[in-house]
Amino acid sequence: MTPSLWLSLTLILAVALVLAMLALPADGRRRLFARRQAQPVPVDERVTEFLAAGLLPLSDCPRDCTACLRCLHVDRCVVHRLLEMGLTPGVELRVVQDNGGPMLVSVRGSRVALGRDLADNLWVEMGGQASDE
Amino acid sequence: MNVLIEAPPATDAISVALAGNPNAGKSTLFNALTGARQHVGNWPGKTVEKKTGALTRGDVRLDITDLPGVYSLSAYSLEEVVARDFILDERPDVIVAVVDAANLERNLYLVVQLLELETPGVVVLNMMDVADRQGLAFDVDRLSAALGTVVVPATARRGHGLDETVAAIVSARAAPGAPFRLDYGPAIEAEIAALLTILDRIPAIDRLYPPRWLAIKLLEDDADVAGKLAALPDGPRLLAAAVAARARLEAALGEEADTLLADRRYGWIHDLVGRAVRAERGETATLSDRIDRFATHRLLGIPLFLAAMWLVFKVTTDLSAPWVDWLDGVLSGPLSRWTLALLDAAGLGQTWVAALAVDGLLAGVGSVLAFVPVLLSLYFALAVLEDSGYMARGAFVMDRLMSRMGLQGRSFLPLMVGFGCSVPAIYATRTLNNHRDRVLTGLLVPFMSCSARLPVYVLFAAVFFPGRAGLVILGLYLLGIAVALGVGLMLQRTLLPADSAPGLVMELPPYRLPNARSIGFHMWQRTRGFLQHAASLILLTTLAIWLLTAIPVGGQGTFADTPVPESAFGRVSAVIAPTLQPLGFGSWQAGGALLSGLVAKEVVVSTMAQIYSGSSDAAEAEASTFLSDVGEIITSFGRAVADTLRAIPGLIGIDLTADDDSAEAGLSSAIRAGFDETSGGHAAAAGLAFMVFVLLYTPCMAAVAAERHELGSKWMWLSLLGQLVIAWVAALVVFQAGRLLGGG
Repeated sequence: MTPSLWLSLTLILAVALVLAMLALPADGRRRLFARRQAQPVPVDERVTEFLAAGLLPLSDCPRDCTACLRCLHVDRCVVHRLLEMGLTPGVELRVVQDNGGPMLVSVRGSRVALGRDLADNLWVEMGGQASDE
Repeated sequence: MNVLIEAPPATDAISVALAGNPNAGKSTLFNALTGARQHVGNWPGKTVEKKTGALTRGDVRLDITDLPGVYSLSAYSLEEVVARDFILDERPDVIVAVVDAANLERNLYLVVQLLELETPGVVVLNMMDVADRQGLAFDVDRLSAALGTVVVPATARRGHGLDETVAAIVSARAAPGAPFRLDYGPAIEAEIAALLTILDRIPAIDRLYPPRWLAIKLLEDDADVAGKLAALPDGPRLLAAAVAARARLEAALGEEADTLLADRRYGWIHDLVGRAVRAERGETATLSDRIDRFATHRLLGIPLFLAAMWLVFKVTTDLSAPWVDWLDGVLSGPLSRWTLALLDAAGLGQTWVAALAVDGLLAGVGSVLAFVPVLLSLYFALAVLEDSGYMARGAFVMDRLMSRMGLQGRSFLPLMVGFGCSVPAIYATRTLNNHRDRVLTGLLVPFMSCSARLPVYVLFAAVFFPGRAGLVILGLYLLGIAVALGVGLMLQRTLLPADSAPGLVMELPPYRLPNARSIGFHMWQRTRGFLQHAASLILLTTLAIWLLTAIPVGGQGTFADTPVPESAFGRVSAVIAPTLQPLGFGSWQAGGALLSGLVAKEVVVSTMAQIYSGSSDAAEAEASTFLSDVGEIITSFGRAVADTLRAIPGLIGIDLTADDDSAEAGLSSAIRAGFDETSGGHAAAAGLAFMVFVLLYTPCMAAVAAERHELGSKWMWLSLLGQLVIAWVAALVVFQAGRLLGGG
């Protein structure tokens, strides 16, 4: 391993990361690259309904905020993944980390990472108490 | 299938399935129970790892199968299907559910589903030490009564609770309790009862699957179960009834049926945990949470992760390098000499047998063994990252970036390791949790320019681009990344569409101190897997290339003693040459070098040296005795140990080893002349095209073998041929563009 290789590899990594960060910031592009048939998210009336009911997307909750999960507005198969991780409607969540990317929440004693676009579609009631308490 | 079961099972052989969440310490318990007596393979037709092992206590024998770690039995992932099918089809005598005591609520969700399969069960409350430290106190009797099974507190990594677990397994088989039944509440129970009346009419259904479980799965709209039942006589009626039942539940309770069932299960569990577990302190931010403040920080997270990856990379390359050299020295030095001496004594010296033994067999064994230190150190680094819990953080931090390329955060690690060597990188795709991502990452790994290709770049860049060599090499690395990106995007659009599941749902296990024993196990098992599966292919290819160079075609040479141009190898290279003509290096020398690069990229340069200068580096026939040879092996072993120790400071950026690279002037001018001739005066363009070809073409046979082992033959062939095509096209573009632009 020569020092010049170290240097060049570090450079490559830095350049690649910066390029990726710069080239792919927009959500529109994310859709272009990541998945052609992203689930259709039209401005649907459910969202206005949620907002009217005083619900917030989980992604709007600040760190250390406690929230009660009310509605999982995502695909069935994702709902399954969420259910088995303990994210059932009515459960209490605590936001452990929110760094702009995926969110880290504490649920039923374990820490679960949730992708940002997923957290956008989980509707919660801020500071609510879990209904099954 | 299971090599450990040689003798017909004794009357008291109990088949046991080990099930549990990922990170619940299932593998630790499995290793503690079975020790070294285990067999690792894949589930038939699946890329999910299957581990089996046996344990004998007195006259009782347990045949234990370690099921993949899952969170539920809903059949939404390959692992879940494997685990469920094993329990339903193979019918183990006892299911041992391993749960993390410190995370009981989430873990019991799987336990409840396991118990609903109505197989005798034992619940092992693992990691009691962690739970104790968190101030959790368990009412084991209450848990046991509610679940209807024996509950054994244990700490598998310390060996606590193993005897009790074995005893519980034996008694669970001897006296299974009443089947577990969770009360789903009046509305759901009514629908279950209605479905059961239809199910009961199907003859012998209860010998197939537990009917109550079937009814629950029908309400959950389980596609797998629906498929199995549709073929039965009353199937369509049953499915129609299930659809109606789900609609009624949704109308009455306002949620979809599967959500309702999950909610009821968790409600029941929450209630049980509330009664059976006493927390001395309320839930607070744990140490793990505090570490995560940094490890997953918006700004610090990525640099920390890159530093960790860098460490993995350095461990796999630097720590293993002295051992690779030592093995190489021993094989090509003393071992070769001994073999020759032995053959001499047998009267076979100077014949083709000697050449086969030394240049074919020993060289082949050498190229297999060369990967052992690399893989051992990779698996060491991976096991530490995985066991400590940091791997999940890395995936978390990188997810945003990688998801834009259609991959998950964990894919970054194999790609990074790929800069060192493709073989361990392809094996590192095992850390990914779904098949599609494993395949996609595995196919992209070879585009990360491995360190064995570097000598080719160094030589050629020095010959054709003196003064700008660093820039050219950097450009090649970047080109590899760019091609990987392009190929990745293309594959996603065609063969490997992104799963419909958008976004990441992943548990971040609490940080734990890695366990030396389990790391050792991991390193040994995985490396053994490589030796078993990949070694034969590498050995065969090496032998095939040797054979080609040994067979004389025309000319005066005899078998194993023929000039390279007149060997079959030379002839084959000459046949390849015209296809390389449009790329600017259509000579048999260049073709031959590329051909030998199929065995290992390391040998491209040495083959070129051999072919172009026509002089094989005559081995200095030093007189040596057996004793001096043994002495040499030992002193070089000592040197390898010292070098490894010296490489450790290098891991954190201090380089104590000086490099002495000197390109042979004769080789340089010979290559330049050769390329001048084949490219019609555009040697630089041809040289660049050659480098691009080396960057992109089929990786070495070891990587191909690893791909076959990890991804399957279909993907291996796609990768092999696809890369050849990509390399050819890219080199063509480079050469023709260079020629048009007038690059001299």
